[in-house]
Amino acid sequence: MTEELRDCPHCGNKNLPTASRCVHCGLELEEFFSFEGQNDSGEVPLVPPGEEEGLPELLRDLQQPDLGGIFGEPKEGDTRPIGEEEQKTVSPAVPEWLSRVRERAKVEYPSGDPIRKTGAIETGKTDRDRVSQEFDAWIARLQESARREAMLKAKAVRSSGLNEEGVPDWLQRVRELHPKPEERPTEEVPLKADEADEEPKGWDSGWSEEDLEKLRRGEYQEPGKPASDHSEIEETADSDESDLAEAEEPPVEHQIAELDEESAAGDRIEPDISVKPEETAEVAESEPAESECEAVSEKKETEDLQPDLLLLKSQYERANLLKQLINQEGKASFTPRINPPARGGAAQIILALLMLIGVIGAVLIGDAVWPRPAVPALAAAAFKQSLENLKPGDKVLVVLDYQPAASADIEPGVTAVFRTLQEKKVEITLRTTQPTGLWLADSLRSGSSLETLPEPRLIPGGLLGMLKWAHYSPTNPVIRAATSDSGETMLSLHDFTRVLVVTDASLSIASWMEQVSHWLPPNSLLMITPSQEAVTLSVYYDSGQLGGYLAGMSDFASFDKLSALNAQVSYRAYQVGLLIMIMLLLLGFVVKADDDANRKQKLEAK
Amino acid sequence: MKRIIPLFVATLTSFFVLAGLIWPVSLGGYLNIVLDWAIIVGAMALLVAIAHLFLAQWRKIARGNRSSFYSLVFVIVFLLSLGGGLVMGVDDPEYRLWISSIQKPLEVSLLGLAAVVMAGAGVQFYRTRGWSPLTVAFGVSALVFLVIDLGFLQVLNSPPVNAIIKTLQMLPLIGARGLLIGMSFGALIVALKALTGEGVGND
Repeated sequence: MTEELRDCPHCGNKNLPTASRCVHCGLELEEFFSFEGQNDSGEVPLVPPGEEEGLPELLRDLQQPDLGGIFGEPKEGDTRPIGEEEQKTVSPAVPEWLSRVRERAKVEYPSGDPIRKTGAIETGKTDRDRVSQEFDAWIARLQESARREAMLKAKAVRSSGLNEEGVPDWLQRVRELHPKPEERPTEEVPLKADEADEEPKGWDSGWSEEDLEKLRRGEYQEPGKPASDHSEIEETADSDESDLAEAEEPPVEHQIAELDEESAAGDRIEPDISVKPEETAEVAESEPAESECEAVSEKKETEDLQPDLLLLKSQYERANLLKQLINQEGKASFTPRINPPARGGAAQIILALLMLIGVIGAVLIGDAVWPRPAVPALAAAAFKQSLENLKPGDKVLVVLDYQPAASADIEPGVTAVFRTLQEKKVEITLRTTQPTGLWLADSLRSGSSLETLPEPRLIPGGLLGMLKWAHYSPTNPVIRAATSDSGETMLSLHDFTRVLVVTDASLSIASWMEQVSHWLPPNSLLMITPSQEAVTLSVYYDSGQLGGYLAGMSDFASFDKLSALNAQVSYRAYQVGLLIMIMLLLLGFVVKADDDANRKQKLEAK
Repeated sequence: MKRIIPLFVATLTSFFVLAGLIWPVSLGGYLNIVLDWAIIVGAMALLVAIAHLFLAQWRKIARGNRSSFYSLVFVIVFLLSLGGGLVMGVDDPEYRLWISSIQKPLEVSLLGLAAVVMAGAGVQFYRTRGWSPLTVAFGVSALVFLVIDLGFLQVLNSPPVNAIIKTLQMLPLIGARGLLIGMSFGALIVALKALTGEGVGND
C-alpha cells in the first residue's frame, strides 16, 4: 500500500493517489486524482457545441435526460446498471424516499461499495475506504466552518445593530443563524473522474424544497402510503444531509463499537416501527445501526443547536409580546390615567405679585439709612484703624479687580474709603487688573464726586503682573540696573504703605492671599468685597494674613461716612427683597406639604 | 515626545520660580523675566482664543443657521468695539463711557434675572427634590439666615438673642474653613502632580 502513495509537491508528505487535496498542507492535487480503470480519454462534452459552458447551462443540461442528466429519466447507456444484489434490495415495498436515496447512492457509487451489506465485515480497508474517510472528515470540517461563520455573522449583526434593509434586528439574527439554502456551503464531492462528467458539483438528495418543507411540518405524504406513518416521515425529514449520510454511511458507522455502548447506556432509540417486514433482510439488518447513528447525530446536533434554540425561543417570546402590544393598539386601556402635576399657576401669580410689591414698596418708601451695627465686626474695625493710622503723604495702592455686576454691592464702600483717604491726604495710586476696571473707575469718579482721584491704569498680565510687583526686591543690583530708567513698569508693592484690593471673586481673593500677601509687610493688605465673601476673608483675617476688610453694607455702615452710602442704597428695599425670599421659601414648604396631603388622600381613597 | 517636552518645560519653569521665590536677591531679576514671558504667552493665548471665538461665530453666519442672528450681533458688536478702541484709544473717556454704559446694565440685569430664577426655584425646590434631610436642612438654614439678615431680631437688643445670633453667624465660618482646607489640599496635590508629571496624558 505504501508504494502506492504519492508525494505532495508542496510539503512532500504522503497522500493517497485518490486524494484531491493534500491532507497535510491542503494543496490541490487534482493532477494526481485518478482511479483504477478510469477512462481519462472518454470525455463526454456536456455542453452542446456552439454553446458557452457555464453554470446555468450546466444545470439546464443536467435536467435533460438525453444529455445524461441525473434529474431526468436515465437512459440505458448513461447510468450504470445496478447489480443483481442491489436490485434485490430495492423491492417494491421499500418506501419511495429510501429508494430515491439508494438510487442516488448507486449513481454516485456504481461499484456498490458504500451500500454494501452491514453484516459483511471486511478484513482490510481499500484505498476507496480511505478516500471515503478523508471525504467524511472534509465534510465535517466544512460543516463546522459553516456553523462558525453563521455564529460569527450573527454576533457581528448583533454588535453592529445596523440594518440597511430595515429588517428588524431579531429577524436578521435568526436569518444569520439559518442561512438560506443557496448560502449554505456547497458540499462538493470529490467525484471520480469517470463520474465528473455526469454529476453536478453539489449535493442533491432528490427532494424538492417543497417536499422538504412539508416534511418539516409533518404534512408530507408519500404517494401510496398512509399519512399515519409519521415515524418514517420524521426519520426522513431530518435534513438533506442526514438522508445522504444514511445512504452513504451505514457500513462505516455500524462498525463503531462506542455507538453500541452509548445506545445501551441509555440513549436507546425506539425501534423503527415504520420499517415494513416486507423489506429485505439486509435493510432490516441495517436499520438498527442507522437508528443508532441517527440518535447520536441528533444528540450532537441538539447540543450544537441549543444556543440557537434558546435565541430563537427568546425571539419568539419577544415577537409574541410585540404582537400583543400591536393588538392592544387603539383599544381602550384600563390603566388609570396619571394626572400630571399641577403647573403651579397660583404659585407663579403669587411670586409675581410679591416681586411687584417689593419693587413698588422699595420705590415708594424711598431711601432708608442703613443701620449701623451695634458692635462693628472686628475685621471692619481693624480696617478702619488701619486707614486711620495713615499719615499725609503715605502711598496707598488701590487695585480694582471686580466686574460691573458687583459694582452696586461694592462701590458704596469704595466711595466711603476713597473719601477717607482723600481726607487723610495720602497719595493714591489706582490700578486695575482687568480692562473693565478702567471704565468702572471712570464711573466711580464721576458718580461719587471723586474727580480728584488719579487716572486708573491697567496692570499687564493681571495677577501675574501683580506677582511680579510683589516679589520685587530693591536690594537686587541686577534689578536696580534694569529698572533705573523704567520705574513705572517695575513698580514694587513694597513701595506702598497700604495695598487696598477691591474684588468680588473668591478665586481672586485666594490668589491675592496665597501668592501676593506674604511678600508684603504684615497687615498692609486690606480688602473690600461684597457681603458673600466675608466668610472667606474671615479665615485670612483670623490667621493674621489680612490687615482688615469691609464686606457688605453692614461693614460699610460701620466704617462711617455713610452719606454717600445712603445715597446709593436703600435698606428698606434690601429688607423687602429678603422678605420676598423668606415668603417664597415658606410657600415652597406649604405647596409641598399640600401635595403630600393630596397624594395621601388619594392613596387612602384607593 | 509631544508630552515630554511640555512636561519638561513646565517642571523646569516651576522649579525656577520656586528657586526665585526662595532666593529673591540672587534670582529675583531673572524671575521677573520669566514672569514677563508668562504674561506674553498668556496674552497671546487670549488673542488666539478671541480669534477662535470670532471665527466660530463667523462660520455660524456662513452656515445660515437659526442662531446665526446672534452670531451676527456678536460679530458686529465685536468689530465696533475693536474699531472704537483702535481709533479712539482705550484711555478715551468717551470710549470708556460707551462700553461702560452697555456692559454695566447688561451684567446687572443678568444678576436680577438670576435672583428671579432663584426665587422661583425656592418655590419649586421641595416639589422637585422632595423631603430629605439635605433639603430640610437647606430650607431651615436659608430661612434662619434670611431672618437674621433682616435685622428685626437685633432691634430687640436682647443679650441672649444676640448671643444666639452670634453663634449662628459662626456656622458659615466653620463650613468655609473646611472648604478652604479641602481646596488647599487639592491645590497641593495638583501642584505636585504638575511637578512630577503624574497623570499627564491620561484621559
